[in-house]
Amino acid sequence: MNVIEIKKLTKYYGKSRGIVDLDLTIEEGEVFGFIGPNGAGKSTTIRTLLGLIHPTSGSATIFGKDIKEFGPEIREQVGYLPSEVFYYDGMKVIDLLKYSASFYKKDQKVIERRIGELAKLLDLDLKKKIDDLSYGNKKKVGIIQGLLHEPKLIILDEPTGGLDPLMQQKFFELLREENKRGATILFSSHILGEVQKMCSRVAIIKEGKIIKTEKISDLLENNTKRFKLETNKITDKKVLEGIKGISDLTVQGKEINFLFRGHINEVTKKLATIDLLNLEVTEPDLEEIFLHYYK
Amino acid sequence: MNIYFQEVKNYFRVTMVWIAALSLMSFGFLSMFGSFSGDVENMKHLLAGYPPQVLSALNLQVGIFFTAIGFFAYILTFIWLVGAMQAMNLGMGILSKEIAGKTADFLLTKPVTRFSMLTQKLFATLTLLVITNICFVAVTMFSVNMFSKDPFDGYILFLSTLTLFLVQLIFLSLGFALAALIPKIKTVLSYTLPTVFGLFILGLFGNVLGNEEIYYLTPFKYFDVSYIIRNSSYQSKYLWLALGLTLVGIIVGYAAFINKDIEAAN
Repeated sequence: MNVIEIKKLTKYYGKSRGIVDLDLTIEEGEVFGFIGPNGAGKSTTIRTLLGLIHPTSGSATIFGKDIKEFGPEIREQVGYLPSEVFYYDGMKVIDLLKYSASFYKKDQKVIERRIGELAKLLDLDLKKKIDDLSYGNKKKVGIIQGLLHEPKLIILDEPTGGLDPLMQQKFFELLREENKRGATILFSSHILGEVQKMCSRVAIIKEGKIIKTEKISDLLENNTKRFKLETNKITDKKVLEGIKGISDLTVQGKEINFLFRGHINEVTKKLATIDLLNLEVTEPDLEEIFLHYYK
Repeated sequence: MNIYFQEVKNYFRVTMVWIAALSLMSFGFLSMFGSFSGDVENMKHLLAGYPPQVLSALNLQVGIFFTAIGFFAYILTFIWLVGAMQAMNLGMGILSKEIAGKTADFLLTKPVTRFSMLTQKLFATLTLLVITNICFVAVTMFSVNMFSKDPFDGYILFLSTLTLFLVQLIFLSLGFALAALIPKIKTVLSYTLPTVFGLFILGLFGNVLGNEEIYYLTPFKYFDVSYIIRNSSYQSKYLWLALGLTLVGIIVGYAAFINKDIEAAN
């Protein structure tokens, strides 16, 4: 079953672009990464799904229900953690979380027990006032607030800012558990390392459009390589420029660097004509592949 | 109903402060009536010497000023002013704080429709204003009873004190609508102070100029105690205008907020 199905979703803020004709499908049980630079339209997509902003055109369904018609019904089963969390300053953490819980139809006692468990796991003092919390601790409130009702879909918009590495790890473990329990996760980020760690599939968004949806494993597969050559003589850039699939080509003195995606023989044939001192072929990380798409 | 209870709780303390202020104004001013009413003849003589423009600017109606209700009518104008501030701050604040404090993300990603959220908030503000007015009416009735030596018409006094609620309704809905329409409100006071005082001063201008058209523009001129004393009722065209404006403000507020885009907080 598709948990999220987005069809030709478009959002303009006046004349400025948010997203354009965006199509995206996320299946049940997936941990789906959504990556792109700031301003690419990640938040716009997420906020439209949550009903915070109204689409200009196109449609989307969550759990098979139209987001415009069934907003509250959908949100009953959605947990959301934004990049920056803001709460009512005067409230105590526990009061805020209970207030948050009171919106859901689930048994309040079950939710309260879960709040206790999560607070213990994340090491958060529930009796403190929101104003007195550090940025990181506010983030923990956000995590609990997003997970307390055991949602079927968890939407995370750049969620790790403000969490120290140890807490990040705990948070990722928590998400994996939720995923095992059956929750689908939409994870938006511009930090590729964390997407690489968490997600099974990823969509790359650029200037309001999805330019690629791929399995993480495919994205990292051997067909993209980083080449690093050291030559005996200074080589003309043009020798390599003609080959299809080469990108990020730099020639610095006797050092040549490039990314290659395609048939390996195409490159090796060319390389045979160059007088080499050294050749290094490595797996690029997601970061590099990502940059390569964004050139 | 959770938002309703939360908001009533949130605003309860500040409402108590407004209630105290309004009650003190009423009680304090009426307490002067006791000592002052002994000296009516001298006062009448003194006031007769004032130019009529001054008296109208001061909103003094010599004919009724020396009855308890007429005396109360004088302070009532200023009670409206304070009450209008309370109501507009409330109507504007209860919506705008979610945008300004960036808590709209928290609230609106919950399984609640915007319509229901708005309705709960609106009812919370109405509850708080009703509490305010019950206290205000009670304190005023009590004070008049205490300080007036002459008998007075309880119904007329009740109608007069109830005008506070009607004026407040208009400003509540005005604040509500503006909060939904204006994209970002940093401080509520920077909108409510100029609006309330501007309309109040406009009313004073209307007095001095004797221009009835101006009266339609400011809620501070919709209710006139001397009319209430004469007719035991409100002037119906202004009453309808007041209720109509309130309704329009609320409808505009709903329409604007339901269609509003809640943009990311940064």
